[in-house]
Amino acid sequence: MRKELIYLCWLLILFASCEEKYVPNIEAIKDQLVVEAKITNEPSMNFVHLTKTRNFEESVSLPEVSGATVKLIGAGSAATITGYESAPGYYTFLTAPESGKQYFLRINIQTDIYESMIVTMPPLPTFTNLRTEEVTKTFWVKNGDGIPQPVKKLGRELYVDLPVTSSLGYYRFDKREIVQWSWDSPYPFDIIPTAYGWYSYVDKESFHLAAPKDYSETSKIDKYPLDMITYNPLQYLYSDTLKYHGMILIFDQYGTSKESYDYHTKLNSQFAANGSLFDPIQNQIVGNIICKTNPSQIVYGFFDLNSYQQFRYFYLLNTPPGVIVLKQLFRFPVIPLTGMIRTAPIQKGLPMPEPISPPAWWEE
Amino acid sequence: MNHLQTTHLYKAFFLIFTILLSAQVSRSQDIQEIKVTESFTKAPLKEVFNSLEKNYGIQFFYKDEWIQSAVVTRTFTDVPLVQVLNLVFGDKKLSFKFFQNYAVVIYPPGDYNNPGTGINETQVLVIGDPINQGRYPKAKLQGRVLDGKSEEPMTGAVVYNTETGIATTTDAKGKYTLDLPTGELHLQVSFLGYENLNQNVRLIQNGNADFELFEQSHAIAEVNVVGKEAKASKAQMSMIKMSSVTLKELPVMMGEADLIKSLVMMPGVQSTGEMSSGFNVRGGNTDQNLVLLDGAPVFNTTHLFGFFSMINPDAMKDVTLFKGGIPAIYGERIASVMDVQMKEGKTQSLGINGGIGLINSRLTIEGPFAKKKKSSFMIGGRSTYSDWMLQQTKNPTFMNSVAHFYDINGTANIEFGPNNHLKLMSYLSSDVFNLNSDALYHYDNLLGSINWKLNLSKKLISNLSLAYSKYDLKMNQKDAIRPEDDYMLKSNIQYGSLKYALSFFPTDRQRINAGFQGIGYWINPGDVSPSQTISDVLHKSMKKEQSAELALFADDDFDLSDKLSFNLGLRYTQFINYGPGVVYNYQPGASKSTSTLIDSTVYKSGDFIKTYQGLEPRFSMKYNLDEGGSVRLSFQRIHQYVNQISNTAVISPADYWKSAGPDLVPLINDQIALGLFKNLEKGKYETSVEVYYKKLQNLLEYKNGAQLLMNNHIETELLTANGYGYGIELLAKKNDGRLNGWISYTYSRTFRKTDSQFIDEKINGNSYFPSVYDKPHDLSAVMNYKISRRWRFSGNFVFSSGRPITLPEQKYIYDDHQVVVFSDRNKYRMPAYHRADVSLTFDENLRKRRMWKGSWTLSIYNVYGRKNPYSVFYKKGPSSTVTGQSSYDIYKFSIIGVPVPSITYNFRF
Repeated sequence: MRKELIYLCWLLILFASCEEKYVPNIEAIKDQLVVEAKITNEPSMNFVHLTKTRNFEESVSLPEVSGATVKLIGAGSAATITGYESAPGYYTFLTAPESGKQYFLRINIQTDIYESMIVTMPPLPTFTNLRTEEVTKTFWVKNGDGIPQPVKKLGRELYVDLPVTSSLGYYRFDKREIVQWSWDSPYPFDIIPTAYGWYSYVDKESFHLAAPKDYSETSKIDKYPLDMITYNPLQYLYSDTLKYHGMILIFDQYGTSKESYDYHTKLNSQFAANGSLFDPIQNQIVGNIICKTNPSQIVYGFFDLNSYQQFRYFYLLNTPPGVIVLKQLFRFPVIPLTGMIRTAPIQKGLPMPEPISPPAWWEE
Repeated sequence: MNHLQTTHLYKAFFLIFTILLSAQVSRSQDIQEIKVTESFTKAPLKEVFNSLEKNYGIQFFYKDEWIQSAVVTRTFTDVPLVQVLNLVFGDKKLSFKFFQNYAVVIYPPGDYNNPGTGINETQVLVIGDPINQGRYPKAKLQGRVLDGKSEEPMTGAVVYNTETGIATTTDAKGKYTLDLPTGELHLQVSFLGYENLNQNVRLIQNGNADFELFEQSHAIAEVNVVGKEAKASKAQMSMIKMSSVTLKELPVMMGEADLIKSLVMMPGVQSTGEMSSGFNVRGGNTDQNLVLLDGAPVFNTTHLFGFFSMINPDAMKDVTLFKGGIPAIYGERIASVMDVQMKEGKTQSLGINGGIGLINSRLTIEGPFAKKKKSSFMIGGRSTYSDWMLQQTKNPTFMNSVAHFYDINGTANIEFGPNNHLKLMSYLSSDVFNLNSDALYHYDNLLGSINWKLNLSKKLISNLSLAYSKYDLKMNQKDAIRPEDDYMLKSNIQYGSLKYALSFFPTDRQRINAGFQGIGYWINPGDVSPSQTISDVLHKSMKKEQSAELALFADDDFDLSDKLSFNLGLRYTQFINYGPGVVYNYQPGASKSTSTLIDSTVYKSGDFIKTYQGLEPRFSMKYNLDEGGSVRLSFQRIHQYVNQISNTAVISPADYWKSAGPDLVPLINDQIALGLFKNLEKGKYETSVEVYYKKLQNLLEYKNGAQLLMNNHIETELLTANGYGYGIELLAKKNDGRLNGWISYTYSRTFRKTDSQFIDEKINGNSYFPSVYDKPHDLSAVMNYKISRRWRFSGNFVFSSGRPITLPEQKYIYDDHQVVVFSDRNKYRMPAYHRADVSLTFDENLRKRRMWKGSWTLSIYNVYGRKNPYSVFYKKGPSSTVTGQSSYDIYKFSIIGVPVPSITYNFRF
């Protein structure tokens, strides 16, 4: 009875709060230029994507902006790099900016000229002291009735230390987990594995940012949590008939500026807003590009000039006290997001198919 | 038949006879004028009658059972018999008539002549010696209004003469004074929650009359309704008086009567929603209200993020809210002054008040320091058990949250003599909360005050007040991975004030107040320190601020004629921001930012960094209309030298205060208001219409995405705006009867605009935009219905326009994420807010003089389950089961989306 009474009270009082979709009548506004400029020391990754805003309720695709002239202009001794339109709205570059030198972006669209703030290309990023620690994390998963239930996951957290120097103290990470699996035929006459496959898990919920801790006096960002991998491989596999072959972890590390860090923090803040108590008043996220010919025109997006390095690791985790394998990889083949290689089906009158091998990038 | 039976039969015969002939009975001057000199101490009434019969030859007719329990403790010296009898019968439900110039016939309780609502209407209270009948055209009637049970003086009781419409209210000592024409008059004495007393008076000459009022059978709470305070002028307008009785009769959430939630039912007072700290007056910000607790300011007025006001309703004596025409004795904040007086404690006996609710309980004890002494004390407290309740939920947000509070308040009232009075007040509150995050917030209020009132003469009163207030915030930030990164952020504001005022009453129609006030502010905007012994956290402090505010004030409140009253006031303020301090200098002609910072100026301790000063004229006028109403006009100018720094939609406990200085100029408000006030049917109905216009200068705004916390260059994030507001407020109130209540409607607007040449300092292109508190329509209806003597029903309905919000208007893709572009600031508006609440109260007993009184209150808040939005926001929705991609939408969040019942037991001992 006591329990029921408690539930009654709180269902009525605290669960009374609710959240629902709201469709206000929003005014249609003239579109504005959006610049997504991602420039690193790796030319193949560099691009400037020019689009326009669209009204909030519209579902049509973003209008691309073609025919622009895009230049990465070196300030001081740095050389200017000119982009070319490789696809509608996409402008790419054949060469990359140099570390330690200053650049700004200039875009000409018809008679309008847009320019970014001047940004210094940071030195190549790195991290040290990769290690793991066993952790238990609680996640809240809604049950069939929509009531959140705690789910505990046991696994290992990967930590790194990041240096903080006068020329580089802010970082951003992209991470991808590639789960390797194979499938063995359950039938006794199939004597070979019939398939090798892989899935990718890419965490794009928000930007993974690292900065010196508030009010901290240390010269490094200590124990930055890169990733958590659970012991139970079934949490990564779609079916328990698949055999787990470990995981390739790809970390794209960007050395970035405080302005870029602040900009992406604001984006994260917008993604994470949940209408809770004391939410800050929502504000415009304006980047570092302005329209020189018409200063009242707002330009959205950001000129993001970062140094870049990719790190790969192979990870194999088993339920404790199983063996934990962690090794750094020094080859960087392109790995599709998902895929599978399998033997040809056995057909009557045809010879048995040749046994297949995993893809060349496969790790064991 | 024995002698006793014969006597009873004889008296009964005379009783019937006199009733039949009562219409023809003429008043006997002779018997009434008999001068009585007697002294009785706890004498039974029978003994009193016998003594009068023996010594003055008067015959009394009555039945013994009518007077069995009545005793008299009075001393009379040459007092006319009629007054003696008035005083003897005043509180005893008996009445009398003179018969044939030699006898007095006593009427029993419940007689047809006795309506049962106080003293017999037909009984005439004679003031003065009948021999002087007709000698004076006017006379001064004065006396006290007392609680009939406790004999405590009642502050704010209304004494009203129905023939002339002249009325007054009792002061803090329960005293009243009326200048009335002599002759036969009818007085009505009333006080909310108490039974009205109707008294016929024959006023012959100056004299005294005390009245006793008794609680209505259902009323648990004591006192209140503020009367004519010394601080409020006769011409005062834009003032709200709210009694704790009225307050406790309103339906409430979680069974707790709440001062602020009750005030927002009045015209011109609003809040931003269910969980909002503080209140907004005439479109003003929350930090523009000066909330005084016995003279000490409160910097955070709420507990549990706005669920409860910080003022314990049981400890409160009375409250007055000035929305406009603020008397010169007040300053400091531009929107309103809420003056809460705490109880002084009973002087006759010990009393206990309390309540047990779903989420918190409260207890207040009051009484004299010693028996039959006038000095008294009051101590009260509240505490929650919300943490335990939170842990019982299976909602992760609540389970990972902490929320509890307590408050303790006390007063000591020391009477050095009838004209020398000292009141001490202290208040302490503490709140702890954590909303499913790694940050634990802890905030405390500490208040204290000393008020010394000395009547230097009958015409000169001295008031000395000392006040102290401290608001402390601590945020304990935990790092889940590295305890070495844990830190504690602290901020606080301290306030000290000395105020001295003299009130001079040269005539009955004039009062002059004059005095000075000195205020000190000590602000620590932020201080970060490590919370662990081994820590990587670097200690960091924001610039501390010290400042002083000095004020000289005077006002003259006078009647120019019977119809015209004025209050003319002037307040001069000077504000000094002094060192030590560092002021950053920025490139002239450029927007302030760290990139335009040139250098800094260092000020030593005591150096004046920046001074401001200003004159604040105050003016109020009242013109009495022939039909009994009045027209009132007021003007005020006020400067505000401290602001709360906040860029959240509602004020949060983590917001900190900042004083005016080189980069923050003081707020200035000029407000003019005009009102028409009219009472109908002898005060049964009260109506008013007020219009106002206010001009606001130097309002605080923030740049887009301003970083406010621990920012030593906060001036680079602040903007200055000017604004204006206007509105009309209507109120219709029924004070009496089984059905009473009020309905209020306000139409108001408030706008502001920046005026800067720099792009990053412009909001909405320097155009006027509505303030976040701009809610044009606001309707409140409150009703109380006495179903029976034990059962009472209350209900209220509120409707208000939604508050302005900023919504996403456009979107684009950046790095595969959808990003939104927000509209101009406050361009859109939330859906309208409306809600109905009901409550049913059952009183356990009705006996007026019974010591223990208890009642049960069942309330339902938001009875029809309206999902009023607290916030409207943009966020990522649930992922699609097909594509795995998230959708982005606009959502509205309602804190209370269903009916919330609660039950509370209130008691008084």
